[in-house]
Amino acid sequence: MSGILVDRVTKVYGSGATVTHALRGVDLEVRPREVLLMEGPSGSGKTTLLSIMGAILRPTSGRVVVNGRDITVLGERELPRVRLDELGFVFQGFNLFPALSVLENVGIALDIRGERGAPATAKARRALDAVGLADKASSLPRDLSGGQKQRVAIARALVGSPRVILADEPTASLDAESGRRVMELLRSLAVNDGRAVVIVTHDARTLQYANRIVRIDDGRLTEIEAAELQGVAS
Amino acid sequence: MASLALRNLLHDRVRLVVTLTGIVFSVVLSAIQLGLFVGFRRATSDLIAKSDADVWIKSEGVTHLESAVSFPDAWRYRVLATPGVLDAEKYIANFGQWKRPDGAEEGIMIVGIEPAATMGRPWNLTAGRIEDLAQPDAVVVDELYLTKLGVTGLGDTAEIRGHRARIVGLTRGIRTFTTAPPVFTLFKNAVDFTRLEADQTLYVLVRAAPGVDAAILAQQLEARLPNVDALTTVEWQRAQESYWMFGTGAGVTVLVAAGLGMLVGIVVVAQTIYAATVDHLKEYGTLKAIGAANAYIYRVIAQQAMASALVGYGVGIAIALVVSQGSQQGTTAILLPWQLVAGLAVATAAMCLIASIVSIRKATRIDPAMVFRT
Repeated sequence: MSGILVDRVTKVYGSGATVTHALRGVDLEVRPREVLLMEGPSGSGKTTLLSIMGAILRPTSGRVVVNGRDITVLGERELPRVRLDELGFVFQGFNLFPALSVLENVGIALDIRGERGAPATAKARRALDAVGLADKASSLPRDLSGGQKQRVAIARALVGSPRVILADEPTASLDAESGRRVMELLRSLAVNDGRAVVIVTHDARTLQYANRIVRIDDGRLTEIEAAELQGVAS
Repeated sequence: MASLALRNLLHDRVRLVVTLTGIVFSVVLSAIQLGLFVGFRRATSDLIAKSDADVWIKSEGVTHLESAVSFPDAWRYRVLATPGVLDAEKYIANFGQWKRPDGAEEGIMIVGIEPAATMGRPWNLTAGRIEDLAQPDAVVVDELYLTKLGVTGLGDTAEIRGHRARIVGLTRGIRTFTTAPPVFTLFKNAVDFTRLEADQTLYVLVRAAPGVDAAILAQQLEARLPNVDALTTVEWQRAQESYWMFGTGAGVTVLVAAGLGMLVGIVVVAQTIYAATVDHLKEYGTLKAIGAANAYIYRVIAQQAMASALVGYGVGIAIALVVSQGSQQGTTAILLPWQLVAGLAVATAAMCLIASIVSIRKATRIDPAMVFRT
């Protein structure tokens, strides 16, 4: 099974008087070719859920299955491999390496896998080409606009051919035009490439790109109906 | 694909310079101190090591070359009569006073050898011949000490205990640890220069016959002669070095200084690598978030440490070699044998790796979820 299945996941921090229920029995499925948006107020649990789906945080209880693999039963040392092989990450702050060129930033994901040399460079160039930045291969991140940086980050997320893309506020630091281009790119990854794309967002401009929208509030998840989708997007 | 470690190093030039400065300082300090140790050690024992003798006979209980006690020179014949002995020669090494032409006095190490001696002779002659020692009042001194002795070269004269001393030969590079320059002369002159009794000697140098084990011969000679120690040249050399380097604390001092140099290097490198790691924490968090295992993080930080070590060592050892070369012109030589150079390379690499441990622990304990907090 491709995509991500979240089965009755809870996340609790602290204990006793200081206990915090970040997630309360969340059920969610993200399928291939789907763009799923998660929206909700700050502190609602969106990033916590994204982290758990991304094998970065462990749930307190429940199960998470990524591309048919139950990651909640894996040891700590196995989780990085899951992130490397199955998932691609796009961060709000781009998280590019300032000392590396654009091409090297994309290639770092391959370097982690042990892929080096000409084949790796060719792969990184193809990923850059897919996001329309092949001509910026030798530039440094400081020479790029916000939108270009985010597209480099998407290329880095794509270069390992993951089947799931997790994006945390990908348009938060971008102007309208750049945000539009980034969202169109993310949508094409789902529609054209068959990936499952999960986007955490506060940005109302992104809602029109979603197949489904879920709202998280106080650790609880609700799905927004299509009719509501029209209302949210307008 | 370029290395993240090297790129990060070069990206922050100021920090790189600080790190390299710390390593260079550490390498130079350690190399010079260790080079001094090697130089001092050689200076304490070269008269023994370069004597061409297999066994040294001395009065029992004498701990170092300069503290010899006399014994009858007639025992030389008992030595010659011992099976396995090819040759035996009387030898003097003792302190004396050199009176310069300007009247000032300097302490010297008087070395007396027999006429036509084959052992204990001066080496590296740059002027004159050893045979010229047969001339009246003849002495051979080292070029490095001409100024100290108040002379300029061949033919110059001075006074040793009321006796005339005339320079007939010059050597290069025969140093002593005690700052008393060696002055070679014939045994009979040395007797006058040192107030030794005419029928006494301070040492007998022994050459073993071919195929004879020097250690066994030394034992046999010691058993034959009363109240003497007989040591192989290597044993006597080690005893001499041990006395001056550790008995007096001089060696410990330079070794401690070398150790401190390394410690300074560790602290400086640790601090700069740690600061660099903290500055790059978000990057390490990103690496972990996108799937890098801790081993990858170790490699990045270790590569930075090793690259810094390589460059810092290269610059530091080059400076130390220049200083060492310059010291050859003086009375205190800083010697850098290849073993020391190689050992220092290994130590520098180890120093930088140790320094990076704290940074590695910091980086590998990053919570990858921090990448979601901007």
